[in-house]
Amino acid sequence: MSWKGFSRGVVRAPQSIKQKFNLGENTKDPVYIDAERRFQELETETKRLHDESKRYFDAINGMLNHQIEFSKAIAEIYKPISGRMSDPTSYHDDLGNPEGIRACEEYEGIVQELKAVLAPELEMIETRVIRPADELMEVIKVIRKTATKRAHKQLDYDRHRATLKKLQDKKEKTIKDEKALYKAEADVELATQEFNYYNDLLKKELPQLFQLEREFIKPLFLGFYYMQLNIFYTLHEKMQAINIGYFDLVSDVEALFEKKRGDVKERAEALAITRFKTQGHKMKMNAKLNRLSKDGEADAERPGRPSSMDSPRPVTDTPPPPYSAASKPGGALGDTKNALAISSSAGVGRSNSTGSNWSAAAAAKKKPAPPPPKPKPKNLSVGIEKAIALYDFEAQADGDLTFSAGDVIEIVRRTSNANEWWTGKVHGVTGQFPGNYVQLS
Amino acid sequence: MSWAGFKKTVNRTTVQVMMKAGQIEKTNDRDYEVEERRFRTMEAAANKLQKEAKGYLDALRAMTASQMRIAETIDAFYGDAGTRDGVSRSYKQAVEELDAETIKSLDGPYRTTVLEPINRFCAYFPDINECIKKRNHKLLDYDQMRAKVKKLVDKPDKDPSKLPRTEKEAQMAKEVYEALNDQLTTEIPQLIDLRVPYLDPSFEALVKIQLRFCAEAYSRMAQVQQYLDPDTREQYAQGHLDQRVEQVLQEIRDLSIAGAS
Repeated sequence: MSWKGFSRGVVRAPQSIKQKFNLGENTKDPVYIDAERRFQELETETKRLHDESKRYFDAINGMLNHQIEFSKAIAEIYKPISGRMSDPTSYHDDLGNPEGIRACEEYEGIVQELKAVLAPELEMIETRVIRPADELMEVIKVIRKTATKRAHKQLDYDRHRATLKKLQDKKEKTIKDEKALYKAEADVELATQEFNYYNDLLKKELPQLFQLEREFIKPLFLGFYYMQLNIFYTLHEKMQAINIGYFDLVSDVEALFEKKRGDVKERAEALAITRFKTQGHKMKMNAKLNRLSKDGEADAERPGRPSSMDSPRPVTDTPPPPYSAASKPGGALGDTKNALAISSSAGVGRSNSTGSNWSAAAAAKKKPAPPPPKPKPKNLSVGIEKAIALYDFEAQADGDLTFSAGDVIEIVRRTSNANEWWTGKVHGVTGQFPGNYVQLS
Repeated sequence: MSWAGFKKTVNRTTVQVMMKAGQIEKTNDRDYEVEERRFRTMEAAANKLQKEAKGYLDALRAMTASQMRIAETIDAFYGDAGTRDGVSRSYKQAVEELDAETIKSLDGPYRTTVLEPINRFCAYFPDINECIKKRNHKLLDYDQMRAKVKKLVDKPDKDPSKLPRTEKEAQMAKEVYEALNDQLTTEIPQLIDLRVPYLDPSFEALVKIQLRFCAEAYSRMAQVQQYLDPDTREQYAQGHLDQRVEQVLQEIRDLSIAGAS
C-alpha cells in the first residue's frame, strides 16, 4: 500500500468504525445494495463454474487413466508368474491366462484410442469453458476494485458530511470555526461529486453487467453441453464397439460374475495360509488377534471368518480347535475349583462356565491372578496316563502349561471332554492346557 | 510386545548377526524361495489392481459430482437472470439423474463384482505375510539350534546329557520350521494358480459396467437436446457459440466499471 493509500486509510478509520456499528449518519442506497448483492453472487458463481469445469476435466481424464491402469494391472495378474525371471523354462508350470492378456491388450488399445479421440474434446473444455470463465473472473476483479473505490468514496462522503454538520451545529463560531466550515463545505461538495460519480456508474453498469453475463453464460453453457454430449457420445460409441471375444457382454453383470466365479473364493479360503492370522495356527495368534479385535480391527468384512473370538466355530473345522483366550475362564475366580469340579462332573465344557465379563476383563488386563493350588493326583499308582502334544501351546496365564508339538505330557488330571482344560506335567512343570491340543496315548 | 516375544526378537537378531558374520550356517530352500518371489510378484500386481479399481469409481463419482455442481451454477446464473427457458432446468435434471440413478445403480454391482472380490483377495496377503514371517523366525530358530549341536559335537561339553538334549531341541525346531515351510511351499502355488479364476470375472464385470454406464450417460445427456433450439447444434459446430462468448466478454470489458474508461 502506498503512503497516500495508508494515510487515507487512517483518515477513514473512524468513519468506517462508525459505519460498522451503524453510528451517526450512513448513506444507504438500496438500489446499489441490491446490485452489489447480485454482483457478489455472480462473483462466486463464476468462480465455481471455473473450478468445477476444471475438476470435470480432470475427472474424465482420471477415469480413462484408471481404466488403462486397471487393464495393465490385470494383465500383470494374467501373466505367468515365475520365481526365476531369468530362467524362461521356469514359466512352463504356470501358463497364466494368455487369452486374458490378449483381451487386456485389446481393451487397453480401445481405451487408449478413446483417450486420444477425447483429448481434443477435453481440450475444448479447457479453451472454451475454463478460459472464458477465467477471463470473466479477471474482469470481475477489476469491477470489484471499482466497487471498493465506491465504498471508500462513500466513507469520505459520510465523513465530510458529519464534520460539516458538527460545525454547523456549533452555537458560537470562532473565526477558526468559520474557516473550517468553509473548508468542510468544499470537502462535502467534492466528496458528493466523487461518490455520486461512482455510485451512479455502478448503478448504471452493474445491471448491464448482469445482462451481459446472461448473454455470456448462455452460449457458454450450450457449448459446454455439446462438448459433454460429444464426450459421452464418443465414450458410448467406442465402448459399444468393443468386440472382444473374451467377454460375454450380453449377460447380466452380477449373474455372470457369480457363474464365472464359482467356488474359487471358497477354494482360496480353504488354504490355511489365507487365514493364518485368524484361524491361525496357534493360540498365540488367536490371542494376538483378540487384542486386535478390541481395537475394532476384527476382519468383520470377511464373513467366512469368525469375527469374534467368542463365537463358537463349527466342530468340523480342522484343528486346531476352537480355543480362544477370551473363552478361557481366569484361574483366579474364587470358585474355579468348584467350577472345575462341576464342569468335570457334569461334563460341561469349561468354556461354558464363563458367563461373566470377568474373562474379558482378564484378557484385557492379561495378568490373571495365580490359580488355586492344583489338586494332587490321587492315584499315581495306577499307571500314569500320557498324551502327545499335537500342537504348540504357549501359556496364556499363570498356571498354564507350555509345550511344543511332539512333547509327551503326563496327564495329572483330565475330564472325558477334550474341549476342556486338563492338567498335565511336562519338563517338570505342571499346568493347565486345552485337552484338544493333545492326543492321548 | 510381551517379554517372551522380546526375548525371542533379541535372540533372533543375534542369530542374524552371527549368520552375516558366517558363524551360523543358513538354510536355503530354493523351492520355497521361488514360491515366495512369485507370491511377491502377485501381491504387487493385485495391490495395484485394488488401487486402480477404487480410483476408477472415485473418478466416476468426481465426474458426476462436478457435473452436478456445474449444472447448479448454471441454473443459478439463469435463475438470477430470470430467463428460465427450461434448458438449464432439464440439463440440471439430467445430470442429477445421472448422479442419483445411474451411479447409484452402478455402485452396487461394481462393489460386489469388482471392488469387494479384489479387496478380499488382497486381504489374504497380510495373513500370508504373517505366515512367511513366522516361517522365517522358525528357520532362524532351527539354524541356531543346529549351530549349537554342531558346536557341541566339535567341542563336547562336560555335561554328557547336553548334546542329546540339544539335538532333540534341534529336531523339534526343525519339525516346526518344516511344517510351516511345507505349508507355504504347497499352498502359495495353489493360491497363485487361483488368481486368474479369482480375479478374471471382475475384469469382465468392470468392462460391462463401463459399457452400461456410457450407454446410460449418453442417453440421459441426449434427452436434454429436445429442449434446445436445433440451430444451436449447428452454431456450436460452426464455432458461433464461441464467437458469441468472446463478443460478450469484450462488451463486459468495455464497461467503464471494468476499468475501460
